[in-house]
Formats: sequence, C-alpha cells, structure tokens
Amino acid sequence: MKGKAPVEGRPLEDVELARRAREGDDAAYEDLVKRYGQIAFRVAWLVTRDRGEAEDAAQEAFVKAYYALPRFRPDSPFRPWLLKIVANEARNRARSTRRRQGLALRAAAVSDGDAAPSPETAALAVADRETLIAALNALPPPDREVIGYRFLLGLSESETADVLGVRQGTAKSRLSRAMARLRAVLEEPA
Amino acid sequence: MSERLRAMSDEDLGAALSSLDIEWPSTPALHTAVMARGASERPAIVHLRLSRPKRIMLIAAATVLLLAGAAVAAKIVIDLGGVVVEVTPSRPGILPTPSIAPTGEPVTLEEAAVTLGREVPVPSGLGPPDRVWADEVFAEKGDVARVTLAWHARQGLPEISNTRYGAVLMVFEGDTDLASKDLYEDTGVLQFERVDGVDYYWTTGTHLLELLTSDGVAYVRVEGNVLLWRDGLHTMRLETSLPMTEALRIAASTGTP
Repeated sequence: MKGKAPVEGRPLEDVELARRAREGDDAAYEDLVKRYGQIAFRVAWLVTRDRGEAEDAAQEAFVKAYYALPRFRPDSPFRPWLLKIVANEARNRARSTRRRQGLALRAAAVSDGDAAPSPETAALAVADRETLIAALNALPPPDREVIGYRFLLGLSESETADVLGVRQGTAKSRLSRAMARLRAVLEEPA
Repeated sequence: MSERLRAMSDEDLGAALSSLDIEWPSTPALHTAVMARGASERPAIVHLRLSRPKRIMLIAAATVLLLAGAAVAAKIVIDLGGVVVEVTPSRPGILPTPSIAPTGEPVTLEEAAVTLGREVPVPSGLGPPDRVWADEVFAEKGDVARVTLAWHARQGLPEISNTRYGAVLMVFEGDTDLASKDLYEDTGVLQFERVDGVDYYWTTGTHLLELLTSDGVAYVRVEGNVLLWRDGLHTMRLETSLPMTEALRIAASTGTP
C-alpha cells in the first residue's frame, strides 16, 4: 500500500483521506471506499431496488467521485458529497433502464442466535414492523427514497437534502409529505 | 392496520421507522472493483492545466463523435441530468427564430444563490456577469431552480448570433430534466470531451432547445456553440461563439461545487 498509516492508530478524517487521495494516494481512497461502501450501496439500492444495478451505480459513483476529488471542498463533509454522486448515478440508471418495479423492502429475519434487539425495536411489535414495511413498500419511489435516507439509513436532514439535490427546506417538506402519505397508507383498511 | 402505529405522532413514527431492521442485500466488495477500475482507467484521464492551449488541443482530439459518422443511428440520446441532448437525423422544416432562451426574473448573484441553494458558480475566466436571472419550476420531484448568467459581447468574447451577449451560462439544479436539445445530423456537430475527469459535451450548429420554465415550455432556436457538463449536482450549459478550447477554458474556471 502506498498510503501513510494513520497516526497512533486513529482513523484519519475523511477530509484528510480525500486530500491524500487527490494527491495520488490510492490507499487513502480505498479507505474511503471501504468506509462508505455499505451506505453508498444502500443508497443506490433504495433508488434502483436492484442489487446488480445498485452495485454498478455505487461502483461507478466511486470512480466518478475519485476523478471529481479536485472539486471536493475540504470545508464540507465528504459523506453527503459522495452520496449525492451515488444517488445521481443510481437515478440515472433507474431512469435509463426504466426499472421501476424492484425488490420490496423486507424486515430482517430474527433468529435465536441474533443479538438482543434494541429497546426501540423490541417495543415495536412484529406485526407493527410488518405493517410499517408494507406501508413503505406501497409508497411511490420518491417518498420511499426520502424516508429511506432519513430514517432507514439515518442520514441527517442536511445530508438527506444533499443526497436529494435539493435545499434543506425542500427536503423537509418533501419528507413531511412522504410521511403524510405513509400515514394515509396506514389509515387504509387492511 | 395497527392502532398503535396510527396513533403515533410524526416523531414517534420516525423513531419507529429508524428502529426497523431492514434486510438489506449484502454489500459487494466495492473497494476491490473500484480500485481495479481506477488503476486501469487512469491512463485515459489526463490532468492538465487548462492554461496551456496546446495540451487542451491534444485532449480535445481524444474522443470525437461527429454526427456525419453517426448517420446510421436513428437517434443518439445523452442525458446529463438537467439537460437531455437528442441527435436526430434531420432538422424539421420549421424552426423558431434564433433567440436567447427565457431566463426568468432578474436577480442579484446573492438572490440567485438563495434560489439555487448554493453559491452560483461564476467562471473566473469571464469575470462578474453583467446580468443574472433566476427561474424556478415546480416539477414532479419538487421545485427546481435554473440560474442564468450573461456577459455582454466584448473584445475576445464575440456576440452570440441574435443576442447582445458574448456568453450565457445556465445552471440547472438537480437532475430533473428541464431542458432538451434537439441537434440535427445534417447541420450540427456533437463532440465528447473528458478533461480532468469531467465529461463535456460540445455542440455546434443549429439546434432546438426545449426548456421548461415557470411560464411553461419554451422552444428556442440556438445557433451558438454550446458546452454542457455536470458540476456536482448541477448541469451547466455555456453558450458562446467561441471555439471549444476557449469554452473549455472558461468552464474549467467555474467555481467548484
């Protein structure tokens, strides 16, 4: 590996890794890919709902981000900058393939060997979880996308706005409308 | 449906969503593929200083798509996000009179930045713009901004046909298709360039610009030379009468996202 080791084992900040990558340190960029590979893939999957498309989109986005590093502002966070590129790439692919009917969201299976669920998860009954996921799957893709970014992936309001490519106020109102539609689906008779 | 879910406040519903344990597909080993691609593709990417015209010329010759050579294809479609370029075999019999595209309301750069949600990227190669406009369209995905900057014609910046401007830069927010360009094989040229990792599309010759504005759809005949590229989440459209190397130099001097 060409990159320099982190000081005293402490992980390097994103900005420092991006700076090193921009200067040709491939190992630094590889660290960033490892750090954000999972969330990038999940963002792409939320948009495409196709594993292959999501993988291609995330991969392409990382390559594009690499070449766009000279335009990355070191005074802004790296994660939303990257995820924006990922979401764009995924949307372009979803649009070009016209693949709208992807895989539905599913609850993870809970087995006896799994770690104890968080108090919040435990508080949400199994039936409620299934109802909520079914309601999410019934939403139009843009609603599912904004709810997915904010709650399923845990992005901040600001990050959600960045990834959607809109202002924070717009993202908030979009999320609010999506939640209202989710609530309307929940109100529908079974 | 669960009474409990229906009774929840938005905040509690958000918390319930956050606590959902989703069965995500397993994440592929992206770093292996990405780093392999980066290594194999790097020689094609040339980091050059745009202040060196000769080097630009070398890159400019790298990938060229001339419409004459693409005559077999019925239609070529390039989607840059905010702008879609379609190449069709021949131009229609009737086209609008050449003109500058509708630009929206005149604003200051500061007001345009608020509309756009980011600092307006002004090419330092052109200096401060003489005019600034902003327009906002309510599209399917929400409100989408378009900011237009214009510079009067001057020495070294010849007038765009039928306008009094030498350069017009449009910045399209997001990836909602706000503009569609119909380029005709028999009169136009479309050329692809990659400079410093940025993909540029260069069009010359008559084309029809179909633009979604707050007043509806506008159809504009464009005779100028147009450079299109993506800048972060925005699509940029620079219209001038300059040759491509000059337009690339201006584009490269645009503020970073």
